[in-house]
Amino acid sequence: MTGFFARRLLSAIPLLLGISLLAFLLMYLSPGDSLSEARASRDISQEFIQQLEQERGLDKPWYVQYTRWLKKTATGDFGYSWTYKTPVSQLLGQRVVATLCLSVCALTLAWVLAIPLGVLSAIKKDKLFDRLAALFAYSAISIPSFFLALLGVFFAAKTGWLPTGGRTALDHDFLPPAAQAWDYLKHLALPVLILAIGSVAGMMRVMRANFLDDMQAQYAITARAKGLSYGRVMFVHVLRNAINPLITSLGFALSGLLSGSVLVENVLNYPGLGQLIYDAIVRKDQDVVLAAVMMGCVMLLIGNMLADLLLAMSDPRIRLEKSSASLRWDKKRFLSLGKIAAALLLVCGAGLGVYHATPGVQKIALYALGAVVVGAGALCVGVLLWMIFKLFARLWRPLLKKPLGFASLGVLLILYLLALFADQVAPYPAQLPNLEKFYHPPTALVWQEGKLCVQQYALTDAVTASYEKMPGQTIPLKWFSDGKLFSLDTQDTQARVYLLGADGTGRDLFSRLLYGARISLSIGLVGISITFLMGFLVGGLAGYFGGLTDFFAMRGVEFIMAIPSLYLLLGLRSALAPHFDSGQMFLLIILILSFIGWAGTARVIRGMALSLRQRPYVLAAQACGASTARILVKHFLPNLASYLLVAATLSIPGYILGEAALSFLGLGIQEPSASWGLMLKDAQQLKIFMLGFWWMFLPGLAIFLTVISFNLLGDALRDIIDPKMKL
Amino acid sequence: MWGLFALTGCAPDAPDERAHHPLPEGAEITDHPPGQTGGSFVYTLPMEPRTFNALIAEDAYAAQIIALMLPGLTTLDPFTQKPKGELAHSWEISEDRKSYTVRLREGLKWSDGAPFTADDVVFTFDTIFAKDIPNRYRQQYTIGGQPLRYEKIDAHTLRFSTAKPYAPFLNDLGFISILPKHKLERFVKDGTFKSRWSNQTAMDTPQEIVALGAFRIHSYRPGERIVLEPNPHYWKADKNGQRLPYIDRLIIKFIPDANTGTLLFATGQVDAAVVSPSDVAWVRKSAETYDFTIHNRGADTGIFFIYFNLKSGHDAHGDPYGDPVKKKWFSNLHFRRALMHAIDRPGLIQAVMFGQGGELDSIISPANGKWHNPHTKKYKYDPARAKEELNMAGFSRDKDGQLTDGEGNAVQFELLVADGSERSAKIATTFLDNMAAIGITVRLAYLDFGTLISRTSDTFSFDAAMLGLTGGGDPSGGKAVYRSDGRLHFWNPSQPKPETDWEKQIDALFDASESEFDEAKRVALIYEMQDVISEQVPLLFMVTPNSFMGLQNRWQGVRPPPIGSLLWNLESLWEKRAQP
Repeated sequence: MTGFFARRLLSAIPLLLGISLLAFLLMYLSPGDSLSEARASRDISQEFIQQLEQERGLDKPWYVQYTRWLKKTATGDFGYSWTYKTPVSQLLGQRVVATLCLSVCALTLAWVLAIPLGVLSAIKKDKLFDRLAALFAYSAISIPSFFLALLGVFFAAKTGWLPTGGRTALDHDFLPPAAQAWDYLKHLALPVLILAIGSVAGMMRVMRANFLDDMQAQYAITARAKGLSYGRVMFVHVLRNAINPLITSLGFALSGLLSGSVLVENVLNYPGLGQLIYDAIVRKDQDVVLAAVMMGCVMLLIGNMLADLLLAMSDPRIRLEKSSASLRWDKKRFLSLGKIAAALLLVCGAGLGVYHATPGVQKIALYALGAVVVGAGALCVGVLLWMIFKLFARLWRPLLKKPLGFASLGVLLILYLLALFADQVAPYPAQLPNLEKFYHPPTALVWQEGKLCVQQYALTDAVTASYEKMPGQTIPLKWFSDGKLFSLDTQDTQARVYLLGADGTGRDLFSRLLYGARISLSIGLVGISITFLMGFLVGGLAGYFGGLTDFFAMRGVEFIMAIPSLYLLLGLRSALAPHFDSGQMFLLIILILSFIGWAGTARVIRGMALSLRQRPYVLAAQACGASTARILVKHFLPNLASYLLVAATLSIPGYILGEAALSFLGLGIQEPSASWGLMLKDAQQLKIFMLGFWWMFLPGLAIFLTVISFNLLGDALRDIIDPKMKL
Repeated sequence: MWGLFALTGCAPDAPDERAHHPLPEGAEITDHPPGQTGGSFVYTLPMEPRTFNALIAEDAYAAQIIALMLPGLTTLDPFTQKPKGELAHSWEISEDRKSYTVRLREGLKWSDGAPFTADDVVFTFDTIFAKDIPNRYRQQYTIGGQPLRYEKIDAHTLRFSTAKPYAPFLNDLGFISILPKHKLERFVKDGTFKSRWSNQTAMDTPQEIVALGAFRIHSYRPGERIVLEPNPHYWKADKNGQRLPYIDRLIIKFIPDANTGTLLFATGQVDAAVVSPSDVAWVRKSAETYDFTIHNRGADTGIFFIYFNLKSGHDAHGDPYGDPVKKKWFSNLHFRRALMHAIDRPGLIQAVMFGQGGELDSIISPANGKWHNPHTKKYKYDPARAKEELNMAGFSRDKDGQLTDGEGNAVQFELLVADGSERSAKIATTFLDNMAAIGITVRLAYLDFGTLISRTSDTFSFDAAMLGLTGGGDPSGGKAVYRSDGRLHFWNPSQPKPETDWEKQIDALFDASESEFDEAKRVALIYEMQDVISEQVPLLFMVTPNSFMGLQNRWQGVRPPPIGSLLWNLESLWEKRAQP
């Protein structure tokens, strides 16, 4: 045990150094600095800006700035905030307690809700309770939490049951201690609920899937046969085995305890660290950013260490001592580690070389990098498609017997076909505006003179964007002309058919949904195929070999998880943008994001693999001389399938919604192009809700439909391939 | 009599009894109808003040709160738009118009009871010009290339001298809040001034941040709210001799999300809020339930525009800034005018602002009534006219409808957009569509603010950009924008000498306006300057939204000025409460 702690603590030092250097470099290389805002305001002089540059040391080369920071930090001084003009420790100290209160409560609530809900859904599989819980979960992950928070405030203000925001009431300081505590609790209720709902959904589904796996395990049947009560077997024996992936993810959750939540803080006026840190990142308040990154990194290391301890405690097959025993300098492993180190050095050297090379060489290097990245991505997607094909070739017959699974397959096929034939089905291009018809409601269709006709409307009030039907004014539809499925039979270029209404600049929502589907339906697939393949390979190998391989793989994973991704994205954009057009950029960024995003998956899979490798069938396979690859594919994969299918299908909406967040950094699909995430973002304003432009929420419905179809299909497949379910 | 007693006795959140200090000799007696004391006024700001140190505060929100606590020598009268005395009681201008003798109000006290004298003013200006304290005011008080000279004549009289006659001087004099010498001098001496009066001070020892204005800090909760209370030594009173302000508590909540701020107002949770034009319709629906009014405040004071990169010269590698081919189009007056005619601004007003806005035609917003020239050249939405202008400039359209210049280059450029708001996205996409209609291909690039600024003001590697600029006040504040050597002369900043005749003309008009003391003549010069700018349209002016402000009806003493915030006189607002 002491050895375990000592090793982890020692390995933390290079990790912290590496991360701080990387964070510093990324901040330095991404464009703009802490004075950008001053540069854009009209009453600040050049002299003042130069004085500040000198005072902040921004005129010095990066290594001078970094060493200065390092020296200061080594003495326990976290520096000085340029925007708040106070010591960083003081600034963070002002909000630490509030942040901890919020995140600990939210985390606790999420666990307290998710575990019982997941277990109950598993026990009552396919009953009403299970269906309802699933419906709740899919809705929860399809609704952007920003909108949820806004509705929460609306609800609180209307009913007066809960405070609308803040952390304390106005008279807080004059209350007796008990009333003060009650006041804190009341103010925590809304933000905690909103934060917890988001994570409950995913955890609950993962818990359910794993529980289903273990319910049928040999030891459960044995325990039942030996006369143990059903409850005891389920809640003592099965639960502690099924909880494995959640424990690993608890490690990441702990790392986020101090980083706060920008979104909830923004909407609910909660004084946490999230907004403060985000602001510092945007303004490049160097010392605050580095302190926050270091804080997050330390929390991540502690969280992961705790998770490893808990894993060993909950699952008797995983032993910490085991790995320490194999931490000997085995010659073969030493060589392979050397190779990895050499490769890393080579990559760094090449990177440095390219950075100083001529533009021509840079361009070639970038294209080479692009080609490698795209190639690897294509390989991942290819492997995934091949797997899907193999799966369906084997499974389409049993799938026919699962009506829900089959129906969802049908829905998905229709969605993909619509996206594929968007050019033919959509009546308008995605970008065609009509400012006269902003927030136009869906047009009614009437049957007139043997033709399907479109009702015309007139704007009655611009202030509320209300439209009224113009009686008798209709335009017939024509079918299959100009390569379109349907269009208006009129010369008037301003007339429109809006099957699903129009958005704020009068663009047809139906057409945009179809074109947006092309992005949104592919992005999730690309994302999960890369993250889950990489995650499975690295996590599976690390878990299978354990020991030194596991140790180094997981330190690498921690390193990747601790990289401040905003700077990475901004830095990459400024490096890549001049060489690629926006469509290529988008693809590249998705690939890069996925290549970073596999780290979390790898850790979870490694945790499960640690448990799997001690199982009799794996030992038997080893004894038979099966190769590592064979064991991974034939023995690990089917047993991890439950988790993989559920986690993968659950992470699709994350990609669809996350892409919209990228677009405003100039990295995602941008206006006027369409994607579901972007369209839903457009709907997240109170006026849409209050003025009743309900059709603007249809992209959310589309996301919900996609998520639920993927998940139902995933569930059906899981049931079919799970070998134990045939018992 | 009984009623009054009951009113003061039953205040639900009665604070500590107000201290009764005699009014100072130099007290200002306001001329509005007297009101009653009591009540809390709540409003929201999107960001907390990052420091309370007036000299080094950088953000507008900090400035807004500091202004409630620390007044300057003069202030701008929101009705006449002329400087009027604040801490200064009166002034005399010398014959040569280069020196000002300012008399301060007498007998004023800081909120801790220490007297306010000319020493505080001298200390403030000493600190501005102190070597180790960089601050934005130093340049503002450097007039005609020389630092402002100031001297104390007696305890309540000072003399300021400028190197050349400078008309906006009395306006500029009000920029800096006067700082308390008795509290801050030791920090300037021991070198810790820059980290003093931080938000930690406001949390731990709010009474240390002494005030000379209507309010002082009662308590501060970072990220949550600040509560201000009346300054017991404030020097304004109503006709009844009641010391201002009337309200007992001024509560400012920090709510970064604009949707939430509006929602809280619409549900009666806060007393006042800025409401964006597209939200007015639904907020108004609950006006009766929560008894509030939404005041239409007319055009916004800021301006919103698209501009092209016309930066001359070469970068460090010896390459010219920007693409020379494109620069040739952008510097063509007909090209810029054609684009102005091609932008569907009426459509934008309707769709983006729900009809609640106006076209912008001048570099000074119509909100700035005193200085805005309403007769500048207008550019109506007229795509046919746009095409004519393009023909005049030698452009033609090929068979695909793509516009090409005389040398056959296809006209296309990239527009940088920084702000990710729904409004800018709508304006940018409409611009793209409007340009497509006249054959110009525009690519949109959304960037974070830092990147946009580094590309538009450091490396000058861009074609066109969309930006907004806050405005209001005396045009001398826009010096860096208007003058060709200005740092913020967007299209071609920091020119050693004006490169075009019209920029030379703008410089001359602006300089003349700065040394012209006759106000009518000054306005005429600024009018002419706007004429030149609108003729040349180096900035493609877009639209300006109307600004709306909601206020609960129970507040009395509201006097909406033609420009600026409705809440300019928080000190004389009072709450009408139902009679018991």
